[in-house]
Amino acid sequence: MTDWRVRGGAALLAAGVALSYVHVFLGNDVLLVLGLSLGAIGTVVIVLGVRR
Amino acid sequence: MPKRLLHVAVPRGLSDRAEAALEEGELDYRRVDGDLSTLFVAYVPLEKVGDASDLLREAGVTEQGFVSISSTEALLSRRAEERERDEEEEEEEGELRVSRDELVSSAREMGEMTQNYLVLTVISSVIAASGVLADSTAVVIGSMVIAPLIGPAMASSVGTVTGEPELFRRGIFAEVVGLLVAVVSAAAFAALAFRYVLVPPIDILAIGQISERAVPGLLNVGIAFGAGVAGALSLTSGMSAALVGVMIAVALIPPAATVGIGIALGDPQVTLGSTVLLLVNVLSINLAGTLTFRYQGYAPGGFFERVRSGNALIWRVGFMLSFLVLLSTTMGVITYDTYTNNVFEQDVRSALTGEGSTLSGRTDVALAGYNVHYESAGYGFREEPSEVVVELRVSEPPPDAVAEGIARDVREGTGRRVPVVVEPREVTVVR
Repeated sequence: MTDWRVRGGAALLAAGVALSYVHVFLGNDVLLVLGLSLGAIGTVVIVLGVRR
Repeated sequence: MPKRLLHVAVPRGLSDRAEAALEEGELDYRRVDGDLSTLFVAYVPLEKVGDASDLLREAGVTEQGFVSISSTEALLSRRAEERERDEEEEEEEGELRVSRDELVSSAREMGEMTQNYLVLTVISSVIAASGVLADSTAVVIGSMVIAPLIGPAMASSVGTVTGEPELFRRGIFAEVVGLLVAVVSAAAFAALAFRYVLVPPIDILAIGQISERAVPGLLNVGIAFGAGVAGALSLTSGMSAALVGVMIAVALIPPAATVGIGIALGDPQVTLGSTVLLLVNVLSINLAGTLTFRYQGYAPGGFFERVRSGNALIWRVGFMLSFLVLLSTTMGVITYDTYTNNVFEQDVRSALTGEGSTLSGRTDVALAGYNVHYESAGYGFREEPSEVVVELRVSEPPPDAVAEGIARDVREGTGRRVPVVVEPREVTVVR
């Protein structure tokens, strides 16, 4: 079974990418910053969750 | 002929059944009896490994003992050499492929999501984004070389065909996470590059690496499909997976980087166009891989497993095909659009330079060049000519009749009532 950190990180990553897409259509830069930050945090969490 | 070394270790009680299985498989083996267990060592042609492991599994060897399959660099045995020579003489030229167990084992290894996989994906995506922004083909190719995306793509296909749902889930999960990481990395890099003026303020669609992915044509389906087939063959025939992985990355990493750049810029056309391309490529690679593994006969041996994996295969192939047709239709529209726009530009050239045109035979006015401007027509995917700008080289201002004649030529030559702007540029003639 996949580690909970990997699943949580993947959820954060997906949410970040979704927010970034919304930014493309609404043009709100706050959404881009929020989306990319969530994506970056999600990526770091996944990296910490998977084995070397 | 490629061979594999089989080590079969079983408890003494099972040794006769294991030996019977090896006899049934017509394998050349040696038996070593210990106090509690027996070890068989067999040197087996590659195409017999699958049958041999099936027979050993049916004999219950894998329940209480183990079977290890490994490749050998060299075997020094006169008997083995003679046997090999005989086999080569008898053997018709046949297709060599690895056994199902080896395939599942290597797919499991390749499809694993590790720290290296994620870090290499981030690095390759950032390099691809900088290569795309710099319009440098060499840098983009460099990014593909280190991209590790072939593993998960092939793992999900192997999982579907061999009836290993866990392998399929792991492969798909690693593939989706890898692509999301690639998009976020490229978007973050591009946002920083634009924020800190690392990229000059130019029309982003003027960059060839971006425009070809923002407005993807149907040819890309063929590229991705070919990459999927090559990826599957690399696993089954022992070709270099690292080399074929570059081909898979061609279809995945640059489009993912372009999606990131589109997101950073907030450009709907670049984002949507490259997202469609990325999705079509992912589906094509997975579909091609799945069909290739199935065609090569990697379905499970048992009746119930075969039926179960067959059902899963039909559902997944149906799902991929449906989405592929839907997205390819969009790309078909773009391809048709590009084709009609190219025809329009050729018609404009013929209208301006052909026999009987306003400019033919005139010495006071010459064609310096022309530009066709386009405007978006329909969800950012389609483009239609909005204006034709004709530049003239003249020695003195031309009469209005010339501009009217040129506009008439363009409209009659193209069959479209598009606005025509004539821009005369005076040049001084030194005699």
